[in-house]
Amino acid sequence: MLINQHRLIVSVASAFLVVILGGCSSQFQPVPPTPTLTSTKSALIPTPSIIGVNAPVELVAAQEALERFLNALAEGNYAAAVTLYAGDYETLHDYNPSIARNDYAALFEAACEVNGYKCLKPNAITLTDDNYDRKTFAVSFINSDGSIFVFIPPFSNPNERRDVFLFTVITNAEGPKVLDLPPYIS
Amino acid sequence: MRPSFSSSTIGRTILVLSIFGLVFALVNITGVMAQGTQSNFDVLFTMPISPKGVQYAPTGDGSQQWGPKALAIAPDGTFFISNTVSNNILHIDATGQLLNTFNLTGLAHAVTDLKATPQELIALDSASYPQTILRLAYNGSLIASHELPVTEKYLLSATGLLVDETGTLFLEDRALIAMQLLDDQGNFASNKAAQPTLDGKSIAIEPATRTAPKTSSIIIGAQRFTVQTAGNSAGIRILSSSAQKTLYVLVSESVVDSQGTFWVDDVIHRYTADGQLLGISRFPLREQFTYVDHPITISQEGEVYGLLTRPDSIAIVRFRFSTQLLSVLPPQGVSAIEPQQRTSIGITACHIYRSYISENANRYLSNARNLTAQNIDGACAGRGKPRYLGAPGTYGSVPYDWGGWDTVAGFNSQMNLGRQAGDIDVSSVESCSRGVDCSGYVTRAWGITDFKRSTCSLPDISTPLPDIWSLKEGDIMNWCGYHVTLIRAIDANGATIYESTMSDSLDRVVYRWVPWSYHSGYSPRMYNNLCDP
Repeated sequence: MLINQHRLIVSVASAFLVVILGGCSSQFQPVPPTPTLTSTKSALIPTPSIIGVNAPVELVAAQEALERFLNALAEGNYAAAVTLYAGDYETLHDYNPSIARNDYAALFEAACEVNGYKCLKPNAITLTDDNYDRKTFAVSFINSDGSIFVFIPPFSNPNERRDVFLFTVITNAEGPKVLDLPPYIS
Repeated sequence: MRPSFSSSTIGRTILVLSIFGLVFALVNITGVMAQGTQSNFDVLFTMPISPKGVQYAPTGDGSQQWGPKALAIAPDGTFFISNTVSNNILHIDATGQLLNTFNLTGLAHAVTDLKATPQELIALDSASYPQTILRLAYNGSLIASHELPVTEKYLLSATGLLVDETGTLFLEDRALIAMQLLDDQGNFASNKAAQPTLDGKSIAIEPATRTAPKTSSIIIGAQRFTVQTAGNSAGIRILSSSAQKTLYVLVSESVVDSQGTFWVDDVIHRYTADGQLLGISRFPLREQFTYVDHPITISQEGEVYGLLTRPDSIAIVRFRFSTQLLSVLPPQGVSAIEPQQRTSIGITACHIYRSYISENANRYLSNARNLTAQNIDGACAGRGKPRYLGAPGTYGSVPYDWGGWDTVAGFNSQMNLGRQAGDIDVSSVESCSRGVDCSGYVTRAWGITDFKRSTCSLPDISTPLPDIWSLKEGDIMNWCGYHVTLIRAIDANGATIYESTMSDSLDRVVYRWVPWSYHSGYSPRMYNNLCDP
């Protein structure tokens, strides 16, 4: 539902606006003439790394912050993840009442290891919306066996299965910060 | 699709039919010589999943979807499918062409069994409370609706319908024939003493027991016939006694593999009225894309048809029978943990008694809460409203809420604050919606208050169990990333469970009986810190 609303994809052909992380190295690609917006689903398919030549610095910074945040959670470096997160902790407080409200690293640890959040390495990060200091990325994740993580709704749920998840990154005085938690499974 | 398992043991399953008359005993080995996956059915036709035809929820090709719940064949050879996602019944001819659609909006919540007699179509709405029988004319109009008697408060235990050779309708409760439902004039009856007949003789089944877990019985008239399975029985149910003086029975067998996963194999048995086994055929349970409550129907001519679900279509198939089958169950893999072993692996703390777990679970069921328009339809971005919520008023139980783990008191106080009741949209966790999801409910029932557990972290605080008979009150059937249910009681045919579920559009905490096949693919587990393990 949410994902359908946000399936505005900046065309991969537009290296001005699209940032895709697909591996450890990034390569500059030829710049197409005109950026276009489309609403196709297929543009979310992970592709090799493409970093736009003229991609705005803040866009690259936002994407890198998101990547660092997700990797920190996946590697258990929760203190690092805290520095990159500016979202709500209320749900995590609610899930973990025995943890001090300001012990954010412990809250992230519980989220990933007990509460049901899937803290996996990102596979591909794709810009889907760029609204000034608020950018939305679609992220796919890699399971420990190398396969792409697919969220399967529980029995009898009207939602669709999906393998990309939306994350919002804002830029405040301290730099780019992530607002969302990894996907939750019950 | 449900996960598959490897099959490696040759000749593991030997189904032995032991026929014991009052005067003689005859052992008939119908067993298994090797393993394999050859199909034992012919496909009559397939139908694509489509908005005007059979539907799954969610749409798309995801696993663990739900869809059609029952198949019935009419005397004229046409088929009826309970298309529960759309809450209608599809009438289909023998080539798969859609003839008619009966809309059940306002009549039923989720029809899970259908029987087609020469006079009418009879449907069991097992998701309403009390559960209800609908009698429909073949033009789809409602003839009558009958609420079923409640056997235990809150419990949804009616599981199916049976029409015998005389056309008498019987109710199946927890997979056992419980009572006659319609009298000779088609009025509602509740004769508990009545039994279906086969060639004029009464028929009954006796499931396996804890002390004889591999032995079930079929009783025809004064004769008792024993059905022996190689592994633990997972139930026995009468499918039909209305065709060609032949009895059709579904015999289920189970195993818990080396990964701690529980698997069920369903085999259809066909008997003469004097107890002679005519043949067996496997229903391909583990190949089903969605779970179908009653996927088997038998024609007046004695042909056995099945409804198979695939990612993009359904298939109506006709089963072939033979005298032996190839095994599909993996070897037993989990052993029981002895008390001294529990201590050695660090299971020592006493946290809760089993009966308290049920008390905790019951608090959700017995909750009755007035929900306002704000609670039901108030703004809450990203929330999906539970499907049982309609107009403002008093609602029982606590709604399903994705990511929720409220206590009952917590849920009620949040409703006082104007929050929204439940959330069946699993895109994200919303703090504006309140209730419990499956793992949140089990976490609370187990009395855990420090962390909200998920289906993938519940195994960290529980131990696997070796078979269905090891399950006790307060144990769980768990599937990491999918669903978890809480055991209240078990019997040879299935389990009485508590669960917070979206199945059958229930969308709330419910208390119901399900056959063991419902739990095929789950892991039976026991909480580590029970005071009375």
